Amino acid sequence: MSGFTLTEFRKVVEACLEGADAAALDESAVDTDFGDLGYDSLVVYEIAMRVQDEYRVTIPDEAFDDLRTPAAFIAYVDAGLPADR
Amino acid sequence: MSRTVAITGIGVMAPSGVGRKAFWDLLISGRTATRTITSFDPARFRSRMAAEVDFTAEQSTLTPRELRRLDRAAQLAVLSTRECLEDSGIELDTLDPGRIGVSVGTAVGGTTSLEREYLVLSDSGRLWEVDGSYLSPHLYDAFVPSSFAAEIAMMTGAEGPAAVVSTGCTSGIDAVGHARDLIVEGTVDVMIAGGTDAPVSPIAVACFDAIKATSPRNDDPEHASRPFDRTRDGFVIAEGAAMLVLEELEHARARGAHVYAVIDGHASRCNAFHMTGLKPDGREMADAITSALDEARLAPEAVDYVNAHGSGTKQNDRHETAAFKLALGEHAYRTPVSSIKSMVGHSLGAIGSIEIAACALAIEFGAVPPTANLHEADPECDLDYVPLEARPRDLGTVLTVGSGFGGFQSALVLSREPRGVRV
Repeated sequence: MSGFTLTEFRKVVEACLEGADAAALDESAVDTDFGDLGYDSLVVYEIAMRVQDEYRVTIPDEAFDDLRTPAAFIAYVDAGLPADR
Repeated sequence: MSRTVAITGIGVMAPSGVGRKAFWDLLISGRTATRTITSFDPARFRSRMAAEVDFTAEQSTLTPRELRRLDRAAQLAVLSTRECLEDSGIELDTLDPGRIGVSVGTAVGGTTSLEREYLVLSDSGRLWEVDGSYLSPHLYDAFVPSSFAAEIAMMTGAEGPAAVVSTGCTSGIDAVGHARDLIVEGTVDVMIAGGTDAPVSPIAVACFDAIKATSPRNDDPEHASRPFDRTRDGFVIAEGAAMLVLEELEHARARGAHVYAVIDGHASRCNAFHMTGLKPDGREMADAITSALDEARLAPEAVDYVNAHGSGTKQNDRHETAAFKLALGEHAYRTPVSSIKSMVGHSLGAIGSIEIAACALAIEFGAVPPTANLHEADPECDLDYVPLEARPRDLGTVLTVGSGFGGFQSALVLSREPRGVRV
């Protein structure tokens, strides 16, 4: 069963940001706050919408307060992947 | 000699407030008009509530041709204009038409009609190259917002400057500010000015769902709009319109017109920051307030009531509180502040004008509308927000503010005429 890792996260970010900023998203950045990466709330919402659509993972409003870094986001989505994926 | 701008007529189409009197009655009662959306099935949306204007177009004074031709927002503007003209008693046909202008604020224009027309022409989105055999000759009016100004000009015979002002959620306040400028500078003597929006349609509701700006308190729609409350979670979208007759004061006095208030000052800023984000210090809104008061030649201590933007988002209400403190200093703690969006929702480009109407009526009747649904204020919102019940208060000067997505910050000052007289 495939999971949701930094690789999948980067693909989603590339689709949202058309590649430009995803290049800086390597292992060293996974624990960096989204704000410090230059991703404002609108970008994070857009990433979340794509993930919900493509990976069938629900991300409720109240979860966003804790999803402050790529690592947190990736872990949340990976844990919520449907069993049949 | 500087010219002064008077409000001599008010027309309102508001949720649970069809007409000026019903609108004021609603505000004073503290009742709310926010409900589950009825104009379409909202089941699949994150926020399923709105404050809708409860009139059927067919029961109104609109003719069958107007009903067919006009987007709902245009209908609301036309009906409000009829009321404000009747209220003012002004006889436009006795005036030089080139000295009468129009200024209409709208955020989303004819979106509702455009959405409906697009569904038909594209066969529910299947045809990118839309099918021309279903074209309506009124399609132009649906996607060109200036059609609203043209409609009001045609119905009033105004041949002076006519414009739509579109600055997001500050459109309604800025349209009146623009109208005031034209009278002050001497271009016109009369302006028919205000705002309208009818954005309760799937695409508009989806727009605000995407940025999580609207409240998801769908199980309790009557109490969902709760500005300044600790549990607030977004605004409730609404429709509505308010149109005003603005006249140069001597022009109004010469014909014995009733003057609700004079508009002393208006200022507009942009925070040049972010589409939805606001800087926490509220500096740009404070700048707009200070500039509007300067134009009015009034000190902060002259303000007797602040009509807030008070949209009920976590961010706005804190930002705005900070702005009031910055601009008004210690006086902010002594001045009642309230948000009527708690009752009539947030009608985007219309609400600024609806709030100006509320302020003029507040001066007229000597009472401050409450902030409904305010049971436990956010600790960061520590001013007097007039919770739940209206408050009688002699009002000499009122400040109203607006804040719009895109960073627009506006302020407008109204005073009783003659200014400084306490009843």
